Amino acid sequence: MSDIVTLTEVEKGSVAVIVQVDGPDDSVVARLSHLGFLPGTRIKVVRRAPLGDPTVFELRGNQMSLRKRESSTIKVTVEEVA
Amino acid sequence: MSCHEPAGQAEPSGSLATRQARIALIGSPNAGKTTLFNRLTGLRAKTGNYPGVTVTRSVGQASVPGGTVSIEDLPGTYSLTPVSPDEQVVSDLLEGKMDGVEPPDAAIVVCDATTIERSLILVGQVLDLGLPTIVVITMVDELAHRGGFIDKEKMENILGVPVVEIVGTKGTGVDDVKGLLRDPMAWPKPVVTPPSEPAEQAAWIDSVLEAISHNPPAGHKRTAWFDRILLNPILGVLFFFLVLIIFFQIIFTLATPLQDYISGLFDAAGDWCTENIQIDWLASLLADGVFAGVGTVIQFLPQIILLFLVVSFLENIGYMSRAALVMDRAMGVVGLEGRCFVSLFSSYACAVPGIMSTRTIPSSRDRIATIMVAPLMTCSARLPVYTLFIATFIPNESVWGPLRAQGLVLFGLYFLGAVSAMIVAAILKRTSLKSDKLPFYMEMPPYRIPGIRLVFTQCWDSSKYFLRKAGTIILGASIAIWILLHVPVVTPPENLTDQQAVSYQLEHSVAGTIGRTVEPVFEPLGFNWEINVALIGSLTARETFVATLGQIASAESDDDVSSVGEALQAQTNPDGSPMYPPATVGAILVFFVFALQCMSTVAVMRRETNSRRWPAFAFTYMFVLAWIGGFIAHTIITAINGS
Amino acid sequence: MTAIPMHAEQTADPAVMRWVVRGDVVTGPGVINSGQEDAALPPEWNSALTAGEIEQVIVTDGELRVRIPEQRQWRDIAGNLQGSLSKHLNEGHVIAVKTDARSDEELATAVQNLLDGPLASYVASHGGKITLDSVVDSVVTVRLIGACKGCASAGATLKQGIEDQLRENYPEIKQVRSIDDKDSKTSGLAENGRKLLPFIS
Repeated sequence: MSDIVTLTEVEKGSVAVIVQVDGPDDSVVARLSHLGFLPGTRIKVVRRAPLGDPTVFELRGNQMSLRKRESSTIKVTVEEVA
Repeated sequence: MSCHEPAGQAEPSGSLATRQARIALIGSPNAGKTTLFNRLTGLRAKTGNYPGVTVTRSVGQASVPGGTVSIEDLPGTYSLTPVSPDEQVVSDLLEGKMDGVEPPDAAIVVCDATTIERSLILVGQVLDLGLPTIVVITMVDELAHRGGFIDKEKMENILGVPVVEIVGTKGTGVDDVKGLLRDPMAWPKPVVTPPSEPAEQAAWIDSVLEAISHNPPAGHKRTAWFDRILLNPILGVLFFFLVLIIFFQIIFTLATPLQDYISGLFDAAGDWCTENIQIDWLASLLADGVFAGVGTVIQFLPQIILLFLVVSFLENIGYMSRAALVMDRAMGVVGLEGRCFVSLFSSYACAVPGIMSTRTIPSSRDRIATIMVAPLMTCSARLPVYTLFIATFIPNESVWGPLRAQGLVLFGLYFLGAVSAMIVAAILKRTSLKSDKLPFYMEMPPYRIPGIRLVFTQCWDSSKYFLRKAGTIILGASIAIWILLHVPVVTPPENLTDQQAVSYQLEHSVAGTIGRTVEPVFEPLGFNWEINVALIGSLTARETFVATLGQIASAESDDDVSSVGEALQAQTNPDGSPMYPPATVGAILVFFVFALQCMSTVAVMRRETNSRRWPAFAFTYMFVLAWIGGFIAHTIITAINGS
Repeated sequence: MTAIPMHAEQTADPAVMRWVVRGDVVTGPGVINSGQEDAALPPEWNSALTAGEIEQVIVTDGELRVRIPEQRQWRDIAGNLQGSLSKHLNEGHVIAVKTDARSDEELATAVQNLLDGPLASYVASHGGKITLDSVVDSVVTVRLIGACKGCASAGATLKQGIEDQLRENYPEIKQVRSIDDKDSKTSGLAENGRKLLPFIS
């Protein structure tokens, strides 16, 4: 099994699996999980915005963009490297 | 594990025989909730605010055999667990904790068939409320088209509530929903609710997806193709600016002729009054007060409708979220987010639709900050003032190559407005409107061809509000200002021409008196009482400034002048110095960059922030900025000119 | 961090709900009746069986089918059952219950009796007819004839109803398969073929 990294660090085009969402605020963690960022979910880094942030992710059948502040709270393992 | 059943609070507090059933429409943004709402309620929706907060409330009536049911379109949400105070409103409403608003009797959850995996989380939360519930799955045509599948009957067994499949844009299946609306109290309440712990929730979703034979839709090829271009670091930004330019072109080329036509219509109505009404004061009130005042505002209607159409189209086709994505980082510098840019951008044409488009911003703090600075974006109503003064007083000489002084000044004024908006936003976001903990997330919906009906409905809704609500306030304000300009009635000396008589009346009116009284206030900016009177008049709408000045100038000038510009140039103070020296012109221009002289904007602010405090604050801070800016401009230009 | 995938489903019989559990942690067939206990079940389930809050638990591969007494409401108990089941399985317990399986011949007779008896009126009410084709290795194959034309869901609903009834009485039935009769191919059942296949996996 590959190392656990934050979603922010995953390269564009790679696919990762969420291990855990862990942030300082429980309600924010809950919100991310309600957006579909749940443990075990496969997530693809689709593209970064032209200015580098936010990043568009594909998960659970839709595309959602997060800023680095949010994506850094999501711990993942990389499954397919771009 | 969450298995509580708030059975007690689900009961309606009154007998249904005596009151209407109330149904809450819940769904995530882009799920097609509003399309369904419009289909069910037609155009009979009322929008307003929830008591005490900046959250828009839409309630509509749906006809069912034997009466109507009330449907409340709740703000789009991905989750019922509140993070921000705005979201607290929604959860309070559903749980019956909101003062003065009864909890709904039943709930409809709307989910997009193409994102059913994610939608199941919200469905689970709604089931947890314990209300009689139905689930509506939208965009089933797109799901089938993209090769996806959902076993609806199995889904009903699992959720324990009816599931209806619809295609909102075509209206397929809407009748099934209407059929169920007949008796919402008979909808089942779920007997067991899905888990709420994240890991168990994920496992529940996986299990359900397998059971409903879920076949996820293939990636949206069109979307992937467009996004490769539209979100490309170089092409995307180029395209973005292209959209901006086309946007302005549409507004100005299409709206301007219509605008002229409408103002012509109101002028004609005014002229008719002047000619045919024998009572002079009444004719003047109708012509100069009602028709001129309301006319100057209504002439913006074509522009506002067009803006709403374009914004609604770009929003529904899916481009707005891309534009917001492109600009998010830049907006983040001042503490706002990408969606705020879209509103500020619309405000370049007119702050009214700009402010109304802030409804898509999830955080009310970002929303209020955006509303507070939107009027600083140079709207089209400032253009008549800018062009008049620039054309009259700024020499059209080349400064450097093709760059001419007039163009540079105009650009400078636009730039000054935008920069000030950013600075004020940054200050607000660092002080009274500090971000709450609401995380930033924005869905990138697939590019979809929007239902024409939805676009027009949204446009109509917004324009209707502008016409009715802002219309009444503007009418009142116009009459009030007419009275200020015409009361008390004085008898002018007999040797004056008609124009001079008008000017004499203005000078001795309440407004004239105020203009003279406030002279010390505006003296540092180089404004005389005539300019002050025009400023008071321009409180309804900026461009009346030109009309009032023109009236005074042409009355006071002895020679025949062909344009307002020439009249202004010819005007002198009693001591013989020009009335509009460069310093004063500079101060006027800068004053207009900042001052909030627009009743429509104030009225819309009042409504969208659901407070009197915010519009009062905006008016005050913009006035202070305008004064300081005007003073600085006056001082600097005076220093340079050495006069 | 990941949990065992599972969910609850209602059945055509209001007294019966089933919990579908993935990942081979629930295996049968087995029947536990009210008053009995089985060490493999979650403790809360055993107390409910003892107390008579549950009438019967039927365990098959990947599925727990629970019947409550008619006077009781699912609303009062389903949440607790689901919570304790989830906790039990996610703690690493496995629910394996085995009672003796009947032979294919015995099953065939029983199924035929059901089709002729209690199920006949149910099937007729859905505008169709069902005959037994075969029982091989506890896999039952039935033939669906003449479900109502133009009603796309009739086939699936009918099959589901029968399957619920059969499996409830004979948990050792591994799978219920259906063959669309020639006549019924024109009646919309064929389109439901894909829905009919994965009933029990």
